[in-house]
Amino acid sequence: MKNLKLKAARASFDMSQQDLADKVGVSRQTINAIEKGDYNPTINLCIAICKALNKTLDELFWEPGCTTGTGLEDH
Amino acid sequence: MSKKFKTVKAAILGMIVMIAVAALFVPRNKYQTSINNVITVKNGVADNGNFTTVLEVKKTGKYYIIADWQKGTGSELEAPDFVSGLVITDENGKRVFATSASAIHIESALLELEAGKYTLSFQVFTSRNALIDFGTGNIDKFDPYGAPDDDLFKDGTWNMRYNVKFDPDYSTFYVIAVLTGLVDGLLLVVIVVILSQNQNAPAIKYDERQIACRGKAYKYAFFSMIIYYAIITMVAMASDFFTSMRIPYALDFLVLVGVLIGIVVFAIIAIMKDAYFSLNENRTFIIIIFGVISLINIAIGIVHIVSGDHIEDGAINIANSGNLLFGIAMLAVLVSLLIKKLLEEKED
Repeated sequence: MKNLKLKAARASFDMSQQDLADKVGVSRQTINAIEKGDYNPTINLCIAICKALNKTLDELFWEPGCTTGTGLEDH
Repeated sequence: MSKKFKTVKAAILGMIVMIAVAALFVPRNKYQTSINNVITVKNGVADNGNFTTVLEVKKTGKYYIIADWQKGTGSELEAPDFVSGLVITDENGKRVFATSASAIHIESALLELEAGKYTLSFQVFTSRNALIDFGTGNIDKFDPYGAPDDDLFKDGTWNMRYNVKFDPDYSTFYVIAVLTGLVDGLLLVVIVVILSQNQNAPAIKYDERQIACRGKAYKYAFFSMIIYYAIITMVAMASDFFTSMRIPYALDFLVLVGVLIGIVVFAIIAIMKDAYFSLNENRTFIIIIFGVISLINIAIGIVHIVSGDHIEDGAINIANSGNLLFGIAMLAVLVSLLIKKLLEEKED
């Protein structure tokens, strides 16, 4: 599932994927993969992205209406 | 001066020092002589059939004595209708080497030779008995029954060329040269890795997605190699049973193919998943390096194919075909890199 919240948050700071990638220490393709929903980041990376964009985990990575999850999705 | 530049400079200096050290071990004490002689045999008697020359060894050491002679100057040994004998004696008259043949290229075992003058005595034999007399008197383990029959000795005139060489022992130099090659190769890799890093960037670092993707790529590469080697093993076993079935490749060549399959499978998967380059690598530099290495290896491989020496004993060997194989593998990686680059540009 696409992560449009991350894309929007990044755009609100007028940051490119490369800018965000540099800030959190990953490749541009990794940010792209997260936004496209092709890659589920680890909690460490989620926290790093949240800090970079001044957001909380809920604001960027929690899906509305979702209260439980298995956490066993295939990466 | 940046740390990066200092490291590259130190690596280049290290390479030069290694080469210089290896050069010190190159054996220079090689001694050789060559005699051109027109030999005429008339009524079973050789004119100009006994001749000697002196070869001076200036440095005591271990040497291979290499003797060769034949009629004419062709690349294949061409024999006259007589037999030549050679006896090499030291200054005290002690025999150090002897051999006989119509035409020959022979290399002795490694012999300890003292510095001094050595006399090379050549004799031409125009009959079986004369040859047997010489052989039993001078050559260890001479087989008189192996001497040619009298009807093989004929009258005639031949231009003969005799070469004798005292070749030094290259084994120490060989070991040092191999070590130099390995160390210089490693230093070259260090230089390429340093130059491929972007300015002021930290050491090679992959992010978590890249590490996961590389893990998958390694897995597929591993299984590709296992499947390949299993197939090769089965084919080799089958060829033992079916003698008409023969694998036209030398074993070392087949092993190299397996290794390259692993490398190429890993590289292609990692490239397509954006996990081949670390975060700070200069991709253009790497692509250029890969292109150059690939082209050089393919060119060397083509030269071997054109000259026809890529096949030895009916099998394609690694010594002369390995370059082409390696070049093709590099080309496959290079093409993957270019395709990925095009896809990224299109996506952007």
